[in-house]
Amino acid sequence: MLVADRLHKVVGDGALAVTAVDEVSLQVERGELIAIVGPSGSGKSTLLAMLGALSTPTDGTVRIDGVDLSDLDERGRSELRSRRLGFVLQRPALVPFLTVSENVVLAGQIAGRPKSMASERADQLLTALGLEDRSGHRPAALSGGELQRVALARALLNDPVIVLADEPTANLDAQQGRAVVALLAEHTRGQGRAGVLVTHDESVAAVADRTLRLIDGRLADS
Amino acid sequence: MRLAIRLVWLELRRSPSRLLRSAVTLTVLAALAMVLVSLVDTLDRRSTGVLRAVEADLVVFNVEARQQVLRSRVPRPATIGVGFVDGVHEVGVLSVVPTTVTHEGDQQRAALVGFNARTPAEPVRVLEGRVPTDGEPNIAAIDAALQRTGIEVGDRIILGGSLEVEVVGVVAEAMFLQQPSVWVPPEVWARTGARAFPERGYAEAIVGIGLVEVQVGQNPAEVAPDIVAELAEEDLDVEVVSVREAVASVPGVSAIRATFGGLVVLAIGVVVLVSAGLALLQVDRDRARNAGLRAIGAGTDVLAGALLSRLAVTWALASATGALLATALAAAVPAAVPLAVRPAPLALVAAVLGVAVGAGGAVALHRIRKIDPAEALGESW
Repeated sequence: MLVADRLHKVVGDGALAVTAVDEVSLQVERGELIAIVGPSGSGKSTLLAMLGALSTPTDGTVRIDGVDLSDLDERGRSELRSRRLGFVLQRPALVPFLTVSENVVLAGQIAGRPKSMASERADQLLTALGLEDRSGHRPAALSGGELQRVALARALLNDPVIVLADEPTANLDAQQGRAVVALLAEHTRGQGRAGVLVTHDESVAAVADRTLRLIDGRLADS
Repeated sequence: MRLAIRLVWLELRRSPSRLLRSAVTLTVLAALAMVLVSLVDTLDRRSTGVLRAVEADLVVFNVEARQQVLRSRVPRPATIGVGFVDGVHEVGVLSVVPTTVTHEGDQQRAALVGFNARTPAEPVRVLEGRVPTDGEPNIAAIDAALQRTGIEVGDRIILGGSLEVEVVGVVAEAMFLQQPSVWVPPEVWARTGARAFPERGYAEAIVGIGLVEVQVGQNPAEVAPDIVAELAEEDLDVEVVSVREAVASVPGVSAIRATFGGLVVLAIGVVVLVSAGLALLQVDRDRARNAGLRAIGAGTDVLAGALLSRLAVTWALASATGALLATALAAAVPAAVPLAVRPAPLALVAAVLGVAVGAGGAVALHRIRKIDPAEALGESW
């Protein structure tokens, strides 16, 4: 489902150029959740950005369901992200003046789904994630764990084939973190989706089927 | 774009304070620009209203007058000759002299305008009653500015301290050098002028300026040299200019336009800078959120549309509130202050502000296009 082949990424120019990701190849199958771990600055987020069509590699290819991302222009990558990928970000980036439900529906509207269908799906997801009582609240009224569950609901709204999560527990206490990761695992692996979880926390990574360790931009083992 | 507009609408309803700061800032600038433009507009119109009140294509001055209406002296028979120049449709004469108007014991200064009725010198907008025609030396029309001081049709007023006339009509405001005007036949102007300024050569055979209407399809600029040549044959050196040029030559007008015009341009420049600054602040403030939205697939059209919609709302609020403030200020200041608000200058300022806000927003649009969706991730690399 997700195949990365010899991914290479150099950031910066000239003397300031740094190799952030070096010759990384990986594959994630449907129903599989992998974790990418590594210390801060090891290139985890850069790798995730390339896997999620957020940035383009300097060299190497990423294929999602057979589609080579290098064949897509900016618009095509945006459409792919909105319709086939789901993102759970460290900072959920929710719109502060929208309610929880509206924030989730927004992902559907960005993907061009009819609002009524998106609303129905949002209600199902918020209920499934235990947020039905919070759907009318603004993000400022929610706890960190609740915000990440909203982010998960938003990521799942368009029924993505792959869910990519970037440090989803970084701003949460241990209990909330475990709960969020459990839900992430349930709604990716359990729903036949592929999942990629980036974290620096080994205990969070333990929920994944496989763990890839990134050190100085290179995969150490798998 | 619909999604962007909906987002801004919800933001405005639910978090108005997010827009309020920029709206207040722009409102202050809009009100300032509108007051400045209204000031220059009022000063300009109150200086040149007599020339604006008539409908002519060309103005004939004697050369020594240097395009000054008060100083110009043209022999009346010469103006008749202008009527025979090819391309001229009609000629009238108009003359101005400073005078006083006394009504019920109250005396005030005014501009006495001698004119030929039913010629290009007749004021176009008569609001009430009628204007006097040649051979009616005992009646006058006043302009709306003089009417506002309490003089009505049917009242008797004294011109220059000695000539009593009856007011038979009111014309639209037509002030000259900040004075209201009284419109009388040319012979009344000559008599009143001769009595007030015996040394200046007022006579019934002399008029101030000629006002020329050219025939339909004729270019006034091409007719003007023919008029000069025709009068040169009669040993009369004249200068023939457009009404627009004559208006610009009224004493003080160019200084008013240059001074206030500079201030208005400065205010508009400040609006461009402030708009750009506010828009950039908004982009920077929302950068993380916009990167997140871009990561989940929102295109530039949604983010840019939201920014432009937000600026449009801010502009509309600022323009409407600025116009209200300028109107309230104009109503509150004493009548002597030359501040009258007209819709056209306010609309012009609002339109220019819109362009200025758009120019400021364009700077921010460039930055919004540069937002990298990868910024939504936790570390830069």
